[in-house]
Amino acid sequence: MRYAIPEYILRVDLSKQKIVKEPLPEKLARNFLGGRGINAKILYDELKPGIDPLSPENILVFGVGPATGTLAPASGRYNVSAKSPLTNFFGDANSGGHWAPELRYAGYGHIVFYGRANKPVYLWIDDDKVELRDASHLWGKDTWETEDMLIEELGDPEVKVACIGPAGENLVRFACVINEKSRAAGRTGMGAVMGSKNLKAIAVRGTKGVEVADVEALLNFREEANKLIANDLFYELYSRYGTAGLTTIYNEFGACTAFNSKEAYWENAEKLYGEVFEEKLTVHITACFSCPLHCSRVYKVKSGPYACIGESCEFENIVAYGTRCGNDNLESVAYASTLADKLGIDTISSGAVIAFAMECWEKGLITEKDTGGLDYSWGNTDVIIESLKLIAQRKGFGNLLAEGVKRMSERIKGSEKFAIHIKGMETPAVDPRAVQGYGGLGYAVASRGGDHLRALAALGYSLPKRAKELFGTDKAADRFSTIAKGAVVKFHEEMRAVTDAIEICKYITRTALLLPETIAKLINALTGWEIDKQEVLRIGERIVNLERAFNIREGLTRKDDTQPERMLKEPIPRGPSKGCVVQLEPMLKEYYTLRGWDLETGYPKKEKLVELGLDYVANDLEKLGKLAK
Amino acid sequence: MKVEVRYLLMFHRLTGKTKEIIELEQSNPTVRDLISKLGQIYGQQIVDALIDPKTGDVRYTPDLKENKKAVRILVNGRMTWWLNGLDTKLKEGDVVQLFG
Ligand code: SF4
Repeated sequence: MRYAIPEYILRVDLSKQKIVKEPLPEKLARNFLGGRGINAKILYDELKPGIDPLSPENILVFGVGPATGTLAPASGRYNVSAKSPLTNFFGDANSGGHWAPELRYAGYGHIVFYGRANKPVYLWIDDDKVELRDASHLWGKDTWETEDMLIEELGDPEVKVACIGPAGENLVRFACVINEKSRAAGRTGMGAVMGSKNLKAIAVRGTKGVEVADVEALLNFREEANKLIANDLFYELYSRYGTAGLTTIYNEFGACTAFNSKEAYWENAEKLYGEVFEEKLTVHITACFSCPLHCSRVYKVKSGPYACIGESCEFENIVAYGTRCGNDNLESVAYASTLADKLGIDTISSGAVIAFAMECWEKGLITEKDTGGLDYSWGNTDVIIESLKLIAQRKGFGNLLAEGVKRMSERIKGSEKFAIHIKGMETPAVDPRAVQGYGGLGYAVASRGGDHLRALAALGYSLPKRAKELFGTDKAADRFSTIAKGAVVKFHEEMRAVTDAIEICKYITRTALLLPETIAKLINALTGWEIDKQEVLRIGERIVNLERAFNIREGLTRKDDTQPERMLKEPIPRGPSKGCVVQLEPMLKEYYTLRGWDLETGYPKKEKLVELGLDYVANDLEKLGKLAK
Repeated sequence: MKVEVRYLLMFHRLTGKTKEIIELEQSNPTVRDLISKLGQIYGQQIVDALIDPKTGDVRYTPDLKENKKAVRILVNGRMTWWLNGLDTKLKEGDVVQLFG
């Protein structure tokens, strides 16, 4: 008897308008669990290397996992993966809400899209009935209008919609997928891939249940998990202030990206702190499916030029449109955040391209001639908002911004030195110089480029006692030290891969449910397997190595595992982390050694891949001459 | 001698303040002295939140039985764990951040 593993994979050929439903083999789930793991396996196996990510040859995969839609905590998540038009490497993004359980209740684990529709379409899944429908009337609509129109058209308020806005349609390289109006599969431009396929939305209604192996064990797990979550160091931060509370912490650490990373501490950021957000803008608290941490909130700016309503204005958004752009006007940040959700734009990357333009402006590298008359002075709230609109339509200067920081820096002479991206993706809100493991190494090696969530190495700067138990030294938790950071990042990467694959949220697994023995308990209660903590780590390592192999096949080498020049050479000028730069080399060396990757090329070694059951991947890389000697 | 105390998150809730300047009478005050001063102002609750009586140290880890959360004390952005714990010396103008 098989439990919790979704029954089917849907394969949708958009060019031929053909839909095939096939069983999801349990063996596949045993090796890769689901979600991000199986998405990676499908992409590695089926995607031709070297293709243009915006061509019909790209493959787009949505995936949920064995925890989805169950009593497992925070189990409302899904991953969407494809080759990224931003990085040309592995693209992948994760989102919460209630869309994923709906897909699971219809019986599906993954949806794989091929080709390109000859006109705009949307996929309608109504339990066993699956069809492609005309979406011409939705093309050009924002994500909120699209969702409202689809729910009306399908006549059922329980329908859940994941869709793209104008940014995805116009192939903005950092366009995202939005479900339920405010939940974003934000990074690596998955919305642009959807747009390139003429796929506007996926609407789902599912009414079947999920059978788990051991209900009592799952109930016990839930009770234990709730206790761990409620007593976690970060519980109050997330549950009471939402991720906006992180603005407080990271600025007080001197680790908050400000002025395009010229600064990492800003006095005015106090106006953007979680406590202020809660007092001024929060209307009420919300949560994704089955989540006891409820970090989401509905916010409202009641009047004035930035009057708006929205949900989930995250720490990342506050930094992106706030400190990163030298803007301390909280209401304008909330407004920009709602606008980005409607247009379907990743907040991190869009804030980063605007901040980058602002530094180019300050240094005189761009002028009104380039920007179409817009004034990119630091903190110009109007230009932040106008830029988002121009990006989504690829109009005027927005057409350049829509390309992302890396491509912009290739066009704007003299700007490479302060182009803040890794592998082509803009780095997130925490300044990596101030947090060596979490940011310095974690961002540099992330399979999807400048990203904090691949490793989310929380023990690299907090919980010294726990860090000592796991890594043998409390220095592993010292954010200024490079000691043991290779081990810290590797461990967290395996665990993040596993929780992305079973599809539970990173905020509850961040520290509270981090340990592999905890997650093994959950997996066993769900599936009836009897796996131990070693096996959990091994599955994580397998997923990480498969994504690595995907990237290596696309041309990645050690030189791509790096940081922007500013992070390596320019010390943080002020604040509690004054003087720090990323000390990458020693950390990278330790990390590669532990991973079994070659120190010179960054290629995996055959033994490592074979040990993980990835023999065929080793053979592929060997044929390409990309296996470590 | 004056230090600036920032009340973040849980401590914002406990004190109703964002930050304030606290004057300490001792000539060589420590974090422990600051906490006892805060106890005088805000009551035993804030002391219990910050210090674990079982270890006599900062509540670095939660107490699941007592339902007490872990907290952090930073001096100028540096966690007391890396300094001298409750015996960390304070000097004029230091910024002490409390969060949990
Ligand atoms: S912690 Fe926040 S983002 Fe994660 S599942 Fe819960 S509400 Fe959603």
